[in-house]
Order: sequence, then structure tokens, then C-alpha cells
Amino acid sequence: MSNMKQREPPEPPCDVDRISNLPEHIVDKILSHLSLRDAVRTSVLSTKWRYKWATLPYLVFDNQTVLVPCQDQTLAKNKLVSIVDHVLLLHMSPIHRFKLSHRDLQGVSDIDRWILFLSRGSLKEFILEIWKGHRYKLPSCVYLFQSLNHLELFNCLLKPPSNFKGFKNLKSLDLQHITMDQTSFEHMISSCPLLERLTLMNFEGFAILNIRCPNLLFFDVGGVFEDVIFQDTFHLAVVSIGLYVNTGNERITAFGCTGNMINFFACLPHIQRLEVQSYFLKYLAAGSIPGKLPKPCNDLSFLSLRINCNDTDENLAALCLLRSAPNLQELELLARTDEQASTTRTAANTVENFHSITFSQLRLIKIVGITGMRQELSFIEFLLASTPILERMSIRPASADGRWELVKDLLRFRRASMFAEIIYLDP
Amino acid sequence: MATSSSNTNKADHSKNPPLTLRSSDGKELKIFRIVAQQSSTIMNLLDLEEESNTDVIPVSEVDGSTLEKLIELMNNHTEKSFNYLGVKERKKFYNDFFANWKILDVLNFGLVANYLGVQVIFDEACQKMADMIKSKSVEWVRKVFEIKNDFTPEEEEDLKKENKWAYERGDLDDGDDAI
Repeated sequence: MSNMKQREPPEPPCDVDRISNLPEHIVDKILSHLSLRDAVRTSVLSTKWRYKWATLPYLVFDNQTVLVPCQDQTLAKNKLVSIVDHVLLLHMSPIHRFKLSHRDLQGVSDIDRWILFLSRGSLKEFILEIWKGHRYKLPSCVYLFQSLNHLELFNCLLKPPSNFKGFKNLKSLDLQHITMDQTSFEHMISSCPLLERLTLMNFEGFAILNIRCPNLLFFDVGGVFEDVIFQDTFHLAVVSIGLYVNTGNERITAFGCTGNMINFFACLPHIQRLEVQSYFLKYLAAGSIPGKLPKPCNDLSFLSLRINCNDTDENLAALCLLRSAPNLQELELLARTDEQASTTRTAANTVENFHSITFSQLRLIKIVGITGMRQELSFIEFLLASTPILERMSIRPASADGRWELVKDLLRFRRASMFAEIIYLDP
Repeated sequence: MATSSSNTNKADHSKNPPLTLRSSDGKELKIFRIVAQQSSTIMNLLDLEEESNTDVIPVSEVDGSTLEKLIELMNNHTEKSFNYLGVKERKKFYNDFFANWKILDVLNFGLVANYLGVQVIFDEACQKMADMIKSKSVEWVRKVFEIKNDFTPEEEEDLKKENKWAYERGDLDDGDDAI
């Protein structure tokens, strides 16, 4: 019996087909938004489609891409490994973006093999997320990805070799739940000259954030550290910092007379958006706090502060910052109540401190988590009186207790802006 | 007139009068220069027009209603608040924009955005198409785009076996909503 089936005689090109004959980059774009699974399924649409997926420059292996309905962990893992091997073998063109993030994947040695394979190409984006298990130690060939433009790692251990010269083309670096030692960290940051975006969350092994990045635009950090030092970061526009630990008052600044406030902003002349989270305001308050910064932050248009209004240090730091942001447009105050409040400085009568600040550009204020304390209320009163073009202030207290008193006070406060709406949001 | 609801555009009105685009079916639509900058094609056409000194830029490849919708999206993009939208909010915005569209209309819209060089909108149209195709069967895709299947049944079977893992869990939904 003949195994050869006769194909239908080739028909003249059909104009009805709406998609198969479109330029390659358009079809690639559509396919690139599909999960790998769906993209591979297009291979049976018609003979034209057989290898369209295999020339895609992106390969993403994640929970949606690969549905392996297995109860057995090991079986699921093995299946995933065989799928990745299979796809890498069938793939036919340079891979620019590789993402591996699957819940069943632990730090297996197969990943080493795939990274070795990828290091021979010109990978531009590499994303690896290890959901379970210990920090996965990256093989040394990962430091050979010279074309790398974006690197994202979750739950990994980084130990670059001593001859590592940095990622010369790296623009974006995202490291979360990683371990690395202090020297390697500093070396990596300073030897990526094109770095524009840096995200660091929950890191171990280094406590001093020495950030020397002349092209840095965006910096987002959240973790436990002792110091953050910016050098040559004149383009840095967006900063979000969360210090997860209350370092307390015993901390003595390492810089002699100037406090953290001045040092922090010394290299941030063009900062546009700043978020001060967790206990970072306390860090900024360490050392001496000037009435206002030596050079104002003229570009600062958005400021978000997590603040303990009972703490005089933090209040002074907040005021210093507010006095140094003449063009602020949006302000967010997120209240935090700590067990102890600092009273090392003479309790500043903050109402006096409030004089002579006018926010000529401030339009939006958001206040969250207050409990109706006198300090908080005077702050709100001051804000309402010094914002001539305020459009909207929203207030969401921490709890419903004492809400009538709060609302009565809000009603009474004078407003500099005729157009201001004050919106009370239920907790 | 192009819509301009935010304060940011007000300053531009007096300094830069809007450009006029003429679609393939003769519709004339206004677009502000700062908005038009998102389209590399319009900018190129503008250079040509400025030499010949007419006021209207013909965009002969695109019909009026599509052009109008595209301009509407481009206007949204120039609003400052749009750039600060989070990922979820952006997704919702585009979902709302493309709600109830037929997939072939999304394809055409994407092709127009591509022709006009507005990469961001082209990308979003492709994303929408991918979302619409996501859970559909191969047969559905063939039908909607009128793709002729030139595999023999045997060849198709073999190919499916080769990539067996991709065909597992066939919880597909071939509803006709996108046709």
C-alpha cells in the first residue's frame, strides 16, 4: 500500500487569505503576543505557517505557556525540561528574548545547559525566575551574555568570576530575592555604563548601595541596607526607596556633619518622582536636617512619603523636603504608626515651621492611614492653606474611629484654593 | 475637530494650528502637530507638503472612520496622565477601546497603525488580536482569516504529534463573538 497521498494540485495564490501573506514582521508581532503554546499550534494552519513560530525571536516558558497538568512534582518538572529542550532544538533563528518562569521549576542543572546554549547566541533579554527552593547559582557562562540589554533574576545567587568585565550593553537590571557579595555588586553596577533602570528587592550579601551610574534614569529599591550613595547620577529622574527595617536612633551617620538628607539629594538634581517608603524617611532624618536643601529639587513633581507624624525627626525631614520642592504637583502622604516615636529633638512647634511655604503648582494630595492625631491634622490644615491651585485632596483614615471629629475638622479648615475638593474615603 | 480635554493641550492651540488630514474617502480630519508626531509617516508626508505649500495632507491608504479612531487614540496618548497609567489600567483602557470589535477590524486597524508608523498602537492591536485568538481552535483561526489548509490529513496528524505538548488540555472556546 502506497504511503504517498496525492496532494491537491496547487491552486493559484488565494487572495482571500487575510493574514498568511502579510509582511513577516507583522505576523511575528502578532505571534509574539501569543503564548508559546498557541504560537506552536499555528504551525498546522497551513504549510506557510509551519515554521513561522520557529523564527520568533522570543521564547517564553511560563505557567500559561506550558500547561503540564501533573500532580507529581518530578514528573511535571521532567515534562517541562523535555519541552524546553524540544523547543530549543526546533527553533530556527536567533533568540533575542528568553524567559523561564514556571512554578515547577527548581534550580535544576538543565538550566545551566540552556544558559550555555544561549550564551553562544546574541541574547538581548534574559529573565529567570526560580519559584521554589534555594537560591539558584547562576553558571559562569551567564556573564558572557555580551549583547544583554535587560536582565531579570528572581531567587538567584550571583557570583561573577573575577575577570568579569560587566555587561556593556545592559540598560535594565532587575534583581529580586538575590544574594551577591558587596564587591561583586559594586563592580557589576559600575561596569554597566549604559544602565538606565535598576530594580533591587530583597537582597542579601551587601548592605551598602553604592550607585555609580551616569545614565541611570529609574531606581527602585526595597530591602534592608545601611546606606545608599549616589555618584554621578545626574539624570536620575524616578526613585522609589523602601527601607524595610527601622534602624532606630542609634545609627550614626558615617559622614561627619552633613546628614543623610543633604547627602542623598546631592547627586539627584533632576529628580522628578520620588517615593519614600517603609522606614526610609527615618534614614533620611539621620544626622543634621537643614531647613531646606542647599539646591532645590526644581524638577520634582510627584512625591510620596511614608511618614510617622508623631516622630519629630521625620516631620523635620518631610518639611525640609517640602520646602525644597517648589514645583511639586502631586503629593501622597501615607501614615505609619510605630511603637516608639523619636523625641531626641526638641519638639518643634510645627505650625511655626509651616510658615512661608507655598505650593504654587500642587494640584493633587492623597492622604492615607491617618488616625486623627493633632500632628496629622495640623499638617492637613497647613496643606490646605498653602495650596492655591489645589484641585483635589483625598483622605482615607486608618479606621472609622473618630471619623466624625475628623470630618468636622476638615470642614472647618480654610482653603487657599477655591476649586479644591476634599474627598473622604472610607477606610 | 480633534478633541482636547486636558489643560496640557491648551497652550499648543494658539501656537500651532492643527494639521488637516484627508482620508481615502475624502473625509478631512484635524490633528495637532504634537499629536501627529507619534506617526512617522505623517511627519514624512508633512515634509513633502510643506514644500508644495498646501494645507491638506492626503492619507490615501486609510479610510475616514479608521483614521478618526486612530487620531482619537493618538490624542489620548499625548495626555500626561496616560503615561503614568499602570499596566493594569492601560490594559483596561485598550480592552475598553477594542470592546466588541470584530477581529478582522482589529487587524485592519493594526495594519493602518503600522502603515502610519504609530508603533505603540500597532503593538496594542496585535496584542488584542492575540488575546482574541488565544483560546480558539486551529479550525476557528483558519475560518476567520480564510486560510486554506494545504496539509494532507496525515501530514497534519504527524505535525501535531511532533508538538504534542502544545495540543494538550484542549479547553478551547470557539465562540463566534469575534467574527
